Amino acid sequence: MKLTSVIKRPGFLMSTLIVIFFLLLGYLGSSNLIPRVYIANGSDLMFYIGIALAMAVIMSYTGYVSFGHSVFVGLGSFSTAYILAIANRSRILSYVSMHGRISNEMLAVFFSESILLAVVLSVLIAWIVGYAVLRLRGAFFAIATIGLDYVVMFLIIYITSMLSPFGGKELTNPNMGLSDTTFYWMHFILFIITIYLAYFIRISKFGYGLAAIRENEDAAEVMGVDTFRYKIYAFILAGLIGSLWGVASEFRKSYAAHDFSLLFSIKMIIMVAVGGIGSFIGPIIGAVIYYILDWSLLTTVGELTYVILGATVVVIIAFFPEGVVGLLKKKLPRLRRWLE
Amino acid sequence: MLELTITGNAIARGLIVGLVYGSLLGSVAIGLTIIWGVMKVVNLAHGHLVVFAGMLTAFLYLTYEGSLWFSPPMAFLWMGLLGAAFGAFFYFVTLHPIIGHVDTMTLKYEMSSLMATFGFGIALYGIHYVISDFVHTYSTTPSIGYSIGGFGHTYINFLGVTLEKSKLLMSALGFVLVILAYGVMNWTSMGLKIRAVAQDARALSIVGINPVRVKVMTAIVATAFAMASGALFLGYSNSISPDSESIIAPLCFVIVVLGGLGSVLGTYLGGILLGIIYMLTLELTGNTQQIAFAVAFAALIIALVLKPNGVFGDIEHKLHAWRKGE
Repeated sequence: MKLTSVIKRPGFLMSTLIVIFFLLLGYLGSSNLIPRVYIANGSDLMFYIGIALAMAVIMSYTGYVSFGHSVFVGLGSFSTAYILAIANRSRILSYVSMHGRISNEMLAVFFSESILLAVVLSVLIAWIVGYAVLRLRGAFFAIATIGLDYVVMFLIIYITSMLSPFGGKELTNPNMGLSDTTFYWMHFILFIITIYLAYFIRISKFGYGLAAIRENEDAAEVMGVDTFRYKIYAFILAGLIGSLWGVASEFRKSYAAHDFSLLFSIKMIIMVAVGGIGSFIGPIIGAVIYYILDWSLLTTVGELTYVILGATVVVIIAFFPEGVVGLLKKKLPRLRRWLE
Repeated sequence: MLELTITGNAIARGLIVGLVYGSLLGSVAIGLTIIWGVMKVVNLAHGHLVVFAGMLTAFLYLTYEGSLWFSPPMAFLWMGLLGAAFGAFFYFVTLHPIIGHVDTMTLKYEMSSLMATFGFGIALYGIHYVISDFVHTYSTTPSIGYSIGGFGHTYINFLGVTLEKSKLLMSALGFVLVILAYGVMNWTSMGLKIRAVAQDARALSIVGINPVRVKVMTAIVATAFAMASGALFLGYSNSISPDSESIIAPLCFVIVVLGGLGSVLGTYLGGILLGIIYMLTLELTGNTQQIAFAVAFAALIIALVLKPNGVFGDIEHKLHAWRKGE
């Protein structure tokens, strides 16, 4: 695929526009032109879009709903906790006590080390587990991945309790003296990687193979798609992107509770389902809608949040199975070119 | 830190408590095996339905100050009846728009119904917190104490293992529930229709039976069994909260897959097998729940890959063959 033909595609333009939006937001926020709270909101929104795109690779592109996808977010956060709270704790603490915050060089080293460890761990686990569970289809796959989440969560808790300098299941991250703006730019780096990676998966030959698997796996196999290998690659890529966002969220937190909770999987599934299965822009729209809905509902109706979210999913699945993107495609055919 | 304590008493305890707990879990999973095995709907709301019934029972029992009428052994019946009504509501709200017109379930419909029940489950989970906002006596973490059915704190000793009588009663009632489910599915014309729609819905409409009506019946039966078992679960564990779903639902899925989809007796035996695996791991590792879950799910993944039809999937066929003397 030629680079010039990629740049001309509307999806590429859309993702570049989104990246520019976050760039502007970060610039305005760090130079105090807009209230600082938007920086934190922007980081949250990038996190949501990131995990939605991670889920999209396996759920929206390939058609396999993974209920245990939070395991990869958890692996990312475990890797970061290992780098910050176990391997480099004393170094960080002594440096921060002298200078008030860790230097940018140290941060870059820790950040890249965490990413490297997260990628290695998630690829390894996705490969091993994918080999077993990707033989299953539909609901069986969904349930086996719930099992995956519990098994890996236990292993990680066990490993943490062995490595932890104080014992116990949870680690406390050392205070690095960093501001929200620094975290924002760290999120931004991962966001650029995620959005373009997800887009290139979507428009590559590999992505079309995945779409064929989603529409009809047996037919895809007959047409010469190596379905099993494609599914494993998709699972690995989805896990890899998920683990990147585990790293991002772990840096922002002061304590290292591993995010293995199935709630993350639930959020990811809702975002992709709301946005629409099969498109690249769908999960992004879904994540934005979910973030706005979740944020505004939590501050206004509180306890009703879960009821409204659940009812939204039921209504969307029953009446708009194609999600928001499918609805837009049907109502506004002129937009179809932009909603790839 | 992981320490294995392998003693004769721990193993005996694991086996016996596992048998009792497994019997209860097997009966809790019956509703799921009916709706999943027969209607091919992966009911992710199953755990929430069970917890909903348990919470309601606890609320009624505590409101009427320990009245025998609302104690778990009786509430078991009321929840079954309520579950029948609630099942119709559940079907028409969640499943009818998706599978009401469908003859054969393809992967696409299976996934949509899975997502829809998942949404219904989340809503049901949230309902508890909404109710507790309006009704102040509705606790989200109720505990009914140990006074079920007038047993109080009474124990029996069996092979050096002490068992609470109330837990034994709940397991026995679970067995009754399983026999009831087996009877409904095998000895009534409704059960015959339900099993027929699972095999070929179109052929069923040729002989003059409306498949949609059978689907409504399946949802009603499955929800009734799920909610009846909710009262039993409360009676067994004495306390419940909306988060108990995260224990019940995964175990139910493991049991149904282990035992064999759609087979009532297979599911019950699967429940007992899982109960023993779970409790034995708990006993041997000194009450580490995560290890027990990990072992249970490892069993699930092994079973899914090696025996996709379940370990006890063909038990009912064998039983029929044995009764005919083949």
